[in-house]
Parts: sequence; structure tokens; C-alpha cells
Amino acid sequence: MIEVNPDLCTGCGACEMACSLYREEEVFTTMRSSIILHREEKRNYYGIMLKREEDVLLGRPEGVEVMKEGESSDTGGGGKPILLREPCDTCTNAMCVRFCPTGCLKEV
Amino acid sequence: MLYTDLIAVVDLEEEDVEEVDIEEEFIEESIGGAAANVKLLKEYPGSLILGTGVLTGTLCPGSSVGIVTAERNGTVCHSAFNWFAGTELKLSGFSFVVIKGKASDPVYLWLHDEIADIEKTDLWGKNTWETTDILRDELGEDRIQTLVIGEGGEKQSGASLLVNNYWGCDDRNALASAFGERNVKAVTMRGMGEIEIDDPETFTAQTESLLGHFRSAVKKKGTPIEGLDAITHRYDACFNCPYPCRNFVMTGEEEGVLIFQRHLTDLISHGLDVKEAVTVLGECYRHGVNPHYGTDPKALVTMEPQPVQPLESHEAWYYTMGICPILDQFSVDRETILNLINSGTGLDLSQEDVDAVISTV
Amino acid sequence: MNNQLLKVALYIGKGASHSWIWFVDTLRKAGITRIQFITDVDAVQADLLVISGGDPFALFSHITSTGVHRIIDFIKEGGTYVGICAGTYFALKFHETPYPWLNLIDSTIANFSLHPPPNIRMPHKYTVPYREGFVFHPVRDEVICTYKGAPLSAPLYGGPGIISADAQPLAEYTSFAPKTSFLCDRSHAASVFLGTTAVLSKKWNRGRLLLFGPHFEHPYFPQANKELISLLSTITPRGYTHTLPGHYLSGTEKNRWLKDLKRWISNGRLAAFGLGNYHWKIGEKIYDPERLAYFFETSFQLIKSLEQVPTLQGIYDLPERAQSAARLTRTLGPNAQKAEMLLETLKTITADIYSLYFSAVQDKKK
Repeated sequence: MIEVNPDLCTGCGACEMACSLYREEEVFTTMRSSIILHREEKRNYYGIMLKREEDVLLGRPEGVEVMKEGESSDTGGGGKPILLREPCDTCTNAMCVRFCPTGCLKEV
Repeated sequence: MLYTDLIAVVDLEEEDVEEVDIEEEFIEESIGGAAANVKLLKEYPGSLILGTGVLTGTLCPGSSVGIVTAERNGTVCHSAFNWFAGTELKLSGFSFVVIKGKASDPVYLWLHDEIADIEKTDLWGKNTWETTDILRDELGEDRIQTLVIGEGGEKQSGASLLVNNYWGCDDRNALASAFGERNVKAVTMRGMGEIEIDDPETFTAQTESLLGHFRSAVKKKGTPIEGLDAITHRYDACFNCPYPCRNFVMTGEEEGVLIFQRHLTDLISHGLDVKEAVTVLGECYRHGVNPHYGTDPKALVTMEPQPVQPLESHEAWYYTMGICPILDQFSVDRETILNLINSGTGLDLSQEDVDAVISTV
Repeated sequence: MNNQLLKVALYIGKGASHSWIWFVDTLRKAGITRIQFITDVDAVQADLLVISGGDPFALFSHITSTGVHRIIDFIKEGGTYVGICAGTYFALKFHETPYPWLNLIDSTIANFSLHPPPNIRMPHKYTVPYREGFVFHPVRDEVICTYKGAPLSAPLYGGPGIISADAQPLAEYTSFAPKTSFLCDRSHAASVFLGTTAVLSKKWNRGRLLLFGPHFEHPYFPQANKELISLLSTITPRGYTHTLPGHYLSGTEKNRWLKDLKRWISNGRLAAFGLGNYHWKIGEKIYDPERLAYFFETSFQLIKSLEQVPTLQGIYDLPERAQSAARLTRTLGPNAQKAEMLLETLKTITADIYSLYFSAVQDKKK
């Protein structure tokens, strides 16, 4: 299972690219990842959304919370079509963790 | 190949776009980024070129860089943009864009999914922040990356500065003016493209190893300017960069400024304290002017052309690879990067080949 | 193969969600491409009439009793009605005073109750009011059926568990899978669902009904797809003609037209992927931006595969319609009416792009 520490996130987006590579195997793209970086640039608000089998894990400046399918979030980073993505399959030796430069993502 | 497939050759006068396939030969002979831009400039003299480095948009750490190239007074000049625009340019399907001629009326380019649209616009006169907001709203996506000009670029000031979304690029040579003289208000990009890797397994292992090096080597965050950490809201990194050098400082309740070291340092060297400098920097970015030349953004919008600023010695290499030169302080091994290029592109380049290409920049 | 001569009328009008796309892709892979996409039920000139997942209330609202009678006539004349999920509920008479839907098979279903078991997850997917009670959905996602004496996995997204029916059972739900999602307590779900019928077949008058609870056509379940095609292959084609809509396009004209279409589908796709956290209640179903993005994404991938094809048969105004859809997507907010309008538009656009695709496939065969 992937754990998120939003305090360590620098918004670099490596996780999206790494997870997409895991899914696609031969190309770099950002559209296949189970993890999405959400950003509101002008106020530098950003966080991570990880789609899981039954819910979406949100790691944001406010903290970490779990959003169930069909729920809305009250602040940013809610339900953009992350739902179109495949859920995280908790791959061992997860790519997102391996390529996160700050240790924001951890495998537990 | 590490590129998406196309070069967009945009003819602003004919209002037409030609799509040219990127051939393996092109990469072999010019690798990418600044060197490839130079090659394209030879083929399309008088054009404005946007290009991505060979490693831009990949899992190579620091691979955020895109390059703008044009001729000024007979000298080929380069400016760089990082943040997320370099990656998004490649993912739009166009790893390179050649902009020829001049539009009769202000336009913006919209690059998306291998489509390059020339769109007439009434955004001329708006500041860079307004422009990005309107474009993102119009095109319906907040993740659209923009390269925009403000008043500085519109007036072709010698102090003009290209802006990526809301933040100044490393546009030392006022290439924002090259946009302005062509009546191009902005280049916007977004795509769901795919960057092919020749040997994904090897490439992945090599980049992971390189990241390991940076994890040990990078022990700091933010830009080393006295007093800046105390007012920093968060430390941001450009695409896939292990060094979060971009301090973000809040200047209002809902907005702030993403710092680029050189720009803030310039303002402080003009006598401002760090807080004042951040505020002025935000204004400079809105106007699209380079604080290297002064502290009054309104005055900077009309400045005479300034001497060309050549690249620093190591930058030609970084700007060809598509890696941010700020990582140079952490001992980037060029042999490792060469191996990455070869495993990613399927080519068999040597250091000599690379050196020969870099010498053209 | 004989089944490639089958003509299929696939309903995509009001009440249909997006699962019909899975059905088309399953048919496409089997070489069955004579598909007519219909948004109304008129006199159906096809071997099969397929009504897939969605909202049976909205479906009836749209086709009304007139449409129901036309379906009955179609079956009477020897046609095969294929119902999947909502299309199955539409055909079953599982209540003493049912809504005036097709109601051709007397049955009882296990997941109708005045007092469903307590819900533990996904409340918005758990129950749908029906008369004095509720149709409830104890499980979602992968379930395991027994089909032809062997286990077969397929996903369930609200389909019924049939206890008894005046029809031949073809498959029954026998167990849950590791990926099964439980919307009520597992033991309740087991007692409600396991042992009930998942797939039914009934000869009716000169025709036939094939009713599926789970989605045998889902892209992640190739074995189920195979069994579905196998079943459909038992239907004898009756020699219906099939004309693709649109006009012949080739050369520069084709390239320009296709590029314009790609442009607007790309714009729509990007805007749909950027939509905020909205939920729209359309009929009895909740839709979110994902559904809209799904149509754009499907369309985009189809268009990409057509770029090297020399000739196509396309409807001239398809790029203009895609442009309208993209522009609407860009300005879409919480307004459910607008979302519904966009949904219906996207369904027909996607269907027309499938027809475009099939025109290239047919041309290749010549």
C-alpha cells in the first residue's frame, strides 16, 4: 500500500510519469497513472490524488484523507477524471515510490 | 526515440501549419534542445524555434527544460523555459516548433495532441497573468502550459521576458520580443502524447541509479538567498527535479510568486530587500520584463535592445540534453547521461559525437 | 464466419450509459461490424436488438409504450433481444404491478426488497426506488458465475440476481472474487445473490431473449467476451442489408476533414479531463466527468487509428458537432441539463465515429 506525506511533496510530478510508465511499459506519458498531481498555481496549492480500488487517497496541505467514490471534496484536488484511471494495484517495488525524489511516497 | 513524432512548421503569414516527421538522422546529427534548434534555424532562417531536449519529459532527473532560439542582430540566441512547459510541449505531440513569418493580427498557438492551431486573439495588451487565466479558461484545462508575453514582449523591449504561465523563464536574451515582433501573444500546449523509449528496462534502471545519486547529493532546498527561507511558503520543483529550488512566497491571500534565483538576485543587487524584491518580481512577471535591467517594471517595457547574453560554458550541454543546468552543482556524470540517451533513443552516440554537436550551439 | 453477417441494432439513446461501447468493441474484435446505432426504437431491421447498461426508467421515458410495442413486434418477427444489466431489468416482469416496460419474462429477483440490508459503501450506487420498495445492489465488480459447468468471471454493475424465471437459466452466480466490492455485508450479499441466475435465454413467439445480469462484454474479461460471442453466433443472420451513414471521403478532403474532427475531439478530451469535481443526476443515475471523458477518449483513439486509411465514409457535419461538444465541455459546470445534453451528443458522435471506423474496415476487406 502507498502512503503519502504531503509535507514532503514538491509538486515535481515524477510519480505520474513513473506510474504511467509502469502501466504502458514502453512510453512516457502522464495519462495512464493511478496517481495525479493536482495544482492551483497562483496560490501554490498542490497535492496528490491516488486512485485505489475503493476510494481515492488525497494527500494535500490540509493532511491526508480518503475520498470515497461519489463524494466531493470541499477544497481542491477532488474528483477530476482520476476515475478514468486504473486503480493502484499496489505493485511491489512501486514505481512511484522509486522515482519520488523526496520520499513523499512510501510503500508500507 | 525519446521524442514525440513531429516538428510543427507554423507559417504565420499563410496561416498554415506543416507537420514534419522527426527522422532518426535529425536526432543523430543534432541530439536535441539548443543544438537541434540551431539546425532548424539553419533550415528555416529568420524563424523563432521552440525545442525540447532529448531527455525532456522523461524520467531522467531534472528533465524539464525547453529552449527558445532565434537570431538577434546576426547572433543566435537561446533562452530556456523549465517548470512544466518543456514536458508539455513534447507531450503535445510536437517536440519542436518552427514559427515563420509574422501574423497580420495577434494570435496564439494552441498545440494539442498533434494538432497545431493558430488562433486569433484579443489578448494583446493583457498582462501575462490575465492571459494565462483567460487561455486556461477558454481552452478548459488548468494544466495547459503557456509561454506568454506581457507588455515587454508586445513592445519588443530589450528587457522583455518570456513567462511560463505566471512565472518568468530564464529569458536572458529578450526572446519574448521575438514573439512580440511576430504578433504571437502566447504558445499554449497540452497533450496526452507518448514519448517512446527504445530500451525501457535499461533506461529505467539508469535513471533510477542517477536519481539515487541526486538523493544523496541534494541536501538542500530553495534558492540560497539570505532572508528568503524565512518568507518561503513552500519549496517547489520543476518537472521531475530532485532539487526543489523554486521558493514560493505568498504576496497576498490567494497568490504569490514562484522565485527564479537569477531574477531575485538581480533585484536584490539593485538595492531592494528580499521582501520588496519578491513583490517587484511578481510585477515584473506580470509585465513580462526582466528585472536584470531595473526595478521598475513599467519603465522596463520600453527599453532599447541589450547586448546578447551568451550561454555559460556548461549550459550548451544541458540545454541540448533538456536537463536543468542548476543540477550541475551536484556533479552530473556526462557518461551516464550519454548512456541514457543511447538506451532511450537506440542510437550509439559517443562522447565525441556529443561534443561535436554541442560545439554547434 | 457466419456471425459476421449478423446485423445488430444497438440502442444508444436516452437511458443508455457508456457500456454499449464495450459491447461494440467485443463485436468488433469478433469481426461483427454491421452495427446500426439507434437512438429510438422504430421498426427494427436487424437480427439483434441490444439494450445495454444505463437507466431503464429514462429508457422507458424516451421510447414509451410505442417503443416497447416495437420491441415486442421485433421479437415476434423472429428477432433476438439482448438485454444487459438495465436492458435485462427492462425485459423482466419481477413485480406484481411493474412499470410498463417490456415485461416479457415472469420472474422474481433476489435484489428487490422493501428493506434492503444496511448499506456499507457507495450509497449512491446501492439502491434505486422501484414502486413501494427498492432494487438494491449488494455487490459490484468481478463476480464468478458458473457457465456451461465451468467458472466464468464477469463484472456486475447493478444487474439482477434472478431467483426464478419462466426462461432457461444459462449461468448462475456461484462465488465472489477477490476484487468483488461489497455494498452491504458480505454474508447478506452471499445470501441474496449466490445461487441466483445471471444469464437467461427464452424463446418467445418466433424470436428470443438473451438477458445478462453481468457485463460479459467488459474489455477486461476476455473469456466472458468469448462466451458472449459464442452465444450470439447461435443466431442465424436473416440477410438484412446494412448501409453505413455518411459520404465517401478520400485524399486531401479526407485528411482535412479527419484532422478537423481530431482537433475538436482532442479539445473536448482535454477539457473533459480537466473538468472539476461535479456530479450530475441524470434520470436515476449519477454521472461524473469520467463518463464524458470516456466518450472523448474512445473517439480519439478511433480517429488516431484512421489517420493512415486512404478512404472513409463519414458524416459531413461530424467535425462541427464535435466542435459544439468540445465547446460545451469547456463551459460545463454543475448544470445537470447541460450535462445531459452533452452526454446524448457525445453518444451519437462516438457512434458515428465507430461507423466511420467500420467504413474503413469494410473498405479494407474489399
